[in-house]
Amino acid sequence: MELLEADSLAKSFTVKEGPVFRKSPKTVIALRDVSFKVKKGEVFGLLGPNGAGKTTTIKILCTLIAPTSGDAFVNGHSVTRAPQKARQDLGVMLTGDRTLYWKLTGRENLEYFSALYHMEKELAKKRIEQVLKLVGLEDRQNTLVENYSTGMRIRLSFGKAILHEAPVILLDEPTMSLDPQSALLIREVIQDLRRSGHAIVLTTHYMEEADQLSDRVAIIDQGKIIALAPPAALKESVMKSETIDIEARNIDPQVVEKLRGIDTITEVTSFVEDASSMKGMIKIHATDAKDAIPELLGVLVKGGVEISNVKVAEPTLEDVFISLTGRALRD
Amino acid sequence: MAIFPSSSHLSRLMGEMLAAFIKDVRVYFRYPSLIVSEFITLPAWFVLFAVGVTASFIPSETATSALSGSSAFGFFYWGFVFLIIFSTSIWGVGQYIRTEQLQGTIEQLFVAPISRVSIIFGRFARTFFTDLAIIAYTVLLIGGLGHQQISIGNPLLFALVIAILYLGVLGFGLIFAGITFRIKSFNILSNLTQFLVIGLCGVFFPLTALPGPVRLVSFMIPFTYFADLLRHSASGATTIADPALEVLVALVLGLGLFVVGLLFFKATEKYAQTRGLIGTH
Amino acid sequence: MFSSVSRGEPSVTSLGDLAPLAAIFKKQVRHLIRYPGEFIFVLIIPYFLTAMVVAMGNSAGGASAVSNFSVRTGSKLNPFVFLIIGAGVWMISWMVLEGIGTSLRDEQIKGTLEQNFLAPINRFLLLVGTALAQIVITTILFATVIAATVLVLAPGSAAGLVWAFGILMVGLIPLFGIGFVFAALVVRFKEPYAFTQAANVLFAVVTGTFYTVNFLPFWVQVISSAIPQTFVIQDMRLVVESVNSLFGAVGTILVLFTMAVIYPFLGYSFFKLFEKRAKIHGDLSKF
Repeated sequence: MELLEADSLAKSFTVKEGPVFRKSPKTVIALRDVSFKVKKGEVFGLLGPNGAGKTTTIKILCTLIAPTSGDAFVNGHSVTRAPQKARQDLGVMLTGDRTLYWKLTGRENLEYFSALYHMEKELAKKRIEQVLKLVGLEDRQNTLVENYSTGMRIRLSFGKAILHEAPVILLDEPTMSLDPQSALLIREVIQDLRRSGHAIVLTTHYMEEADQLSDRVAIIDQGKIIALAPPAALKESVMKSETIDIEARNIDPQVVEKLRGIDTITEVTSFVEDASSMKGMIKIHATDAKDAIPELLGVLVKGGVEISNVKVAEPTLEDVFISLTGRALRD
Repeated sequence: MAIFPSSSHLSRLMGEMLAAFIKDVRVYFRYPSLIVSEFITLPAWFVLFAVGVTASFIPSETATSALSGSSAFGFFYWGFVFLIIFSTSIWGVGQYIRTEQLQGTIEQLFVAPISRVSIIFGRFARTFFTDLAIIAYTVLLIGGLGHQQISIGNPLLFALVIAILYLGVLGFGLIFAGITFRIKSFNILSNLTQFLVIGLCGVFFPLTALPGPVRLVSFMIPFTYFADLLRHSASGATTIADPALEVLVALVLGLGLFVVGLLFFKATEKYAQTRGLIGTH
Repeated sequence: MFSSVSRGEPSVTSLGDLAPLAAIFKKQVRHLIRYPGEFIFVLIIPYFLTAMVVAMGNSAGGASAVSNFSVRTGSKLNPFVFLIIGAGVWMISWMVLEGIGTSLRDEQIKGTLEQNFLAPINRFLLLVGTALAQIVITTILFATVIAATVLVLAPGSAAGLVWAFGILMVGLIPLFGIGFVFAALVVRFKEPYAFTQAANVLFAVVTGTFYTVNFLPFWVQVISSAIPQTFVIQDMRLVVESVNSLFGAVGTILVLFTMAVIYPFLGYSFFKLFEKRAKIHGDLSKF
């Protein structure tokens, strides 16, 4: 049963660009024909680089932005025609640590939002206790949020999103800026929520997180969904090619380009971490790694690249992204 | 389609408003310096102008000369009370959206399934009580400093006028709250509006001080009648028109302002949604 | 191996700080030019307030309002001129106090205060730098507009006006000291506008913006005499009315010069105390 449906969502913005007094309008297309459905008890991951349209999608689903065309349905309620009903069935966590009232305590924030979501008082009280325990803020519930660390604020924000146990939960970068322990805690809660039958949409930059948590992943780039499948299926699609990761120094882009001329190599990207030593990583997709390695190593060594490590890796979602778009997620 | 809100709708609305009010009160009391500043600043403005005028323009032996049938001091005092209440519309209600935008919490409010009036109500209700406290404190201060005692001539009419005034203030505040989605230089517009109202609505001087054509503009502004009736009900000052007629006009204008304010706010929310402006500041 | 001399880097001197100060000044000028509405608004306020007091006064005083004014204030100046001098000085003072007092708080909120404090720039210049552009530009604008108003309404005042602006310039210097005190309180208590708003209107009350301070109770006059703007307003009105009054105002002008030396020093010392406390308690990053 679908609890969330996005139906041909499109969004364009008009921005004014140019020198002062001579600005001209320019249309920026943020989303193009985005459609997907999320079932009960499913985690749907939305993966893509900055500016791809992930947050725009989330904001349309939670009625903060009106789509230019298309519609979305939250538990059967249209976000354009019945926004109030849609909001009642949504739990939303927006990105950042400034989404709560700093001059209220953690508990007071949750009390306030429980009232806005029309929770019955006794139920709200019990639920607030539960949530505070769940996100590990029981001991600090009576401290003003302005005295919380960033991680605590983000956990409280997550707690607010799951407070009224809405059937559909939208999480925009829920583990950003969290330490590994807190991030693990949030992921465990997300998995519990899935088991309880909530439909969850999760946007993230962390491929491992999307891989681990999502039942299906949509890769969005330049406002369009370019792939939508379970993570395993997506990785399999690039398993026709293997990934060779080479750690090296003295990486010369011209030498790296020469690798494209090798028969079995389908895609090459390089990332330089240290500009002074040109130390970084060269990522190569090849149809046959065993065949490609001797030749490519020869090209690199001849070109003066100092190789420190070679690894044939299983494809990741980043590899999927690179193979679909020709560039890395971090670009 | 229900024409009248059901009892469950009403109880939900009351719950939302109560929660918003409690939140605003809690946050207010956690800024003690601002509270102290408010209680110093507002009466000080009154003293500045009241002393300025009575010390400089009125002979010492007639320091409380008659002004439109009320003492000069009384005239200024009720003008000051009007200004405090009117300022709520701009700086209280109107700027509330901007405050939430700067804090980063505005989107959380707009994502919640609540009435748009509830969003504003908490701040509106809280400023109602703080306005009353400041006005009462100023009365005590003035009495304590040995000036004439402030009294209310017609308490029933006064209460009615206050109710109409606050309705108009809420409506006007909703207009300003809507404007914050469109305009970044909010402070300039707010101050200019305040100046216009002070200058044109007979707040601190009678309308007769204004040239004829300017007075025509004054008669078109609802706040002219609110200020006039406030002064009349409190200190017996003569009104622009027949008091009963003026009350009726003020009632219609107050209701009208509220409805217009609400519609404008909803329209600008839609505008902000279309352009993705709700969270930006 | 790592000495700044061998690397040719400048050490932290006031000369080295002038370059970033100039950069801050330039940036602020660009910002102010981009938002001309803020200027217009700042120029309108004193005129509006003065017009309001004059309108109130004329209504209350009736036909003899102007003669009452002359008797009560002891000044033969046009009431509008008398009052606009007070309102103009008050507005410029507000710009100085709020500019210095709130610039640190603004940086705190943006999260850039710590970055600024890490930089090898003199703290004094940092405090003053952001506010300086606004102060300089609004003072120039005000001076021009008020001068025009005075010359139109009191044509014989040109000579006195020059001296009046000299007095104003001297009177601004001690204000920086009061601004540093505000900046310190802001870093400590975190609510700048609470202080500056209350202080601004109280300053207007005790410095005789719309009247002469003689009308105030004695104990208030004692407070007034500690605020430089009391003397600035009083002396500016005297010399605009008659440039010969300058000789009679020598005493208060000397007081202003003394304040110009002592107040910035005291204010900055106060700020340094609070800065030390802020470092111990980690207040710089909190907001």
